[in-house]
Amino acid sequence: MNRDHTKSLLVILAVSVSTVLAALPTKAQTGVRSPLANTVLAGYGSTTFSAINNDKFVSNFTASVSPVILYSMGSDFLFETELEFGLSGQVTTTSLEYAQIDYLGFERVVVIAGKFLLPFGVFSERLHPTWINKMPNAPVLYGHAHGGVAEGSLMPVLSDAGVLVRYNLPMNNEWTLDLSGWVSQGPVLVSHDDEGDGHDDEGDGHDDEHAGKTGASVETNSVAEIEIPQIGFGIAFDDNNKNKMLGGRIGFVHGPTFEMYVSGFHAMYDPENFLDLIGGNLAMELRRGPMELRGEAILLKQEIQTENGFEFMNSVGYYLQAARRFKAFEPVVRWGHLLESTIMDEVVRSEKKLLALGLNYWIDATIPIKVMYEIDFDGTDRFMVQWAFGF
Amino acid sequence: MKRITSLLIVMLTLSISGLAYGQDPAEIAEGAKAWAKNCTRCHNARSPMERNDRDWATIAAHMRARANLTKTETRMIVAYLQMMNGTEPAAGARADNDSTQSNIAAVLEAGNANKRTDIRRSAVSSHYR
Repeated sequence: MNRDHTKSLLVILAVSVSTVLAALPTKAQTGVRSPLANTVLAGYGSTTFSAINNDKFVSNFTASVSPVILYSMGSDFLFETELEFGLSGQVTTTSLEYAQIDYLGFERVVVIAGKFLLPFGVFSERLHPTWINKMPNAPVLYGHAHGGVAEGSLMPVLSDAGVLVRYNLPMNNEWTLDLSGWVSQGPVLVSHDDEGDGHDDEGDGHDDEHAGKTGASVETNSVAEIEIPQIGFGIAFDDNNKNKMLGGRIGFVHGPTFEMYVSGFHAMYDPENFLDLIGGNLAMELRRGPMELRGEAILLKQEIQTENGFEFMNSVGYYLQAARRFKAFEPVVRWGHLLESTIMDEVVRSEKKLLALGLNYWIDATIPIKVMYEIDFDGTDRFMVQWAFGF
Repeated sequence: MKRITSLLIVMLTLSISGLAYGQDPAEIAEGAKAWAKNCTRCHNARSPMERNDRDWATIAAHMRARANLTKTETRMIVAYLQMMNGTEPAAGARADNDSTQSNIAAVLEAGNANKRTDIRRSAVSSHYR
């Protein structure tokens, strides 16, 4: 064998050995794959300073973090969950904001089962995370985030267990119909034993001063004394009645410049299936260049038993928000108004008007520092600073 | 012989490039448009470089359920993000603090381009400063 042949043989041998070694099954290839390989950790958090001056100056620091875990099961299934850890009173609160399985196998339809954010309006489902919300607290329509009892507002950020189906229907090249429909456990009647702790969770800045008449006896001129039942959303996972909440939303989307959503739901909230709760929501958003204008209005009709029979308590509220970017700075103005709640034209809950003036500084696309002064025309003004981050 | 060898090398290079990106430029351009149209409806556009390819595929599935996107739109957005995340920002660059809308306009414009490099250059320059 000459020298050239030996060289060639050595090269062939080296290549063969490398190929065989590369092809040898390793543990990672043949064994069970780590679930972490399909898992993504995301989420958001914030720390908030809040101060009010009501008789005496009260200030408070609070913090919260909401990790989101996404687990992809092939191309068609996704499990996603969001936990929330916050500080409230003297305890650390934990909550399960959502835990859902999504089926993504269809071209235009998504099927979701589990505990999910209800597509009622837009803020509740998409805008409440602190790094997305342009203000340190929620608009006046929404109270304690992520289920619970609406205090000083119309409802909490809604999250409930059930099934949700979404359908994306294109109208033409520019416009899309965004359709959603859900069935879920629905709200429950809260007994006084079940009531929330009354603390201002996670710095949403809404206290109870305007909510005192919900879940309490109210004296009126013609309706005598009325017991207004308090309603809890997503706080009990044993359904309290045979009824389920049915809801839907229709959205007209011309992304990213215009969006309009009309949503509504119906549910019975008492154990005997007598008392209706009906909600309606109109949400709009306009975006032109660095300007953004959004608003949302809610009508809530809660059936109540009075001495004269069954009557509806009507509650209406809305908010409008304008923001404009100037490089890293973003001034924001928000006007919120809860109108008087009435039963048979009798006022059972006073109105509430809030004007919030804010200035955000975006350190990064997902890290704002938000400074806000909120004027309460019927109560106490509030000053807040929040440092939020999304990851 | 030399010509044939050169031709083979060029073809091999193109094939490898295509495999690396796994998508055609038109789909990536559509993905850029879909990204600009949908992702900024609720929040600031996030840097594609924040995540690797696998993460973006999972996050896009999450966002599909949230924003009610179609399967095709989602696939194109993923293709776009997976291509973009291979690009290093300029020294000292960070996520843009400027108007999201200026980013959108630039990316939409870039989305019309057919060449991958054009899309890349425009989007990066608009997204970072």
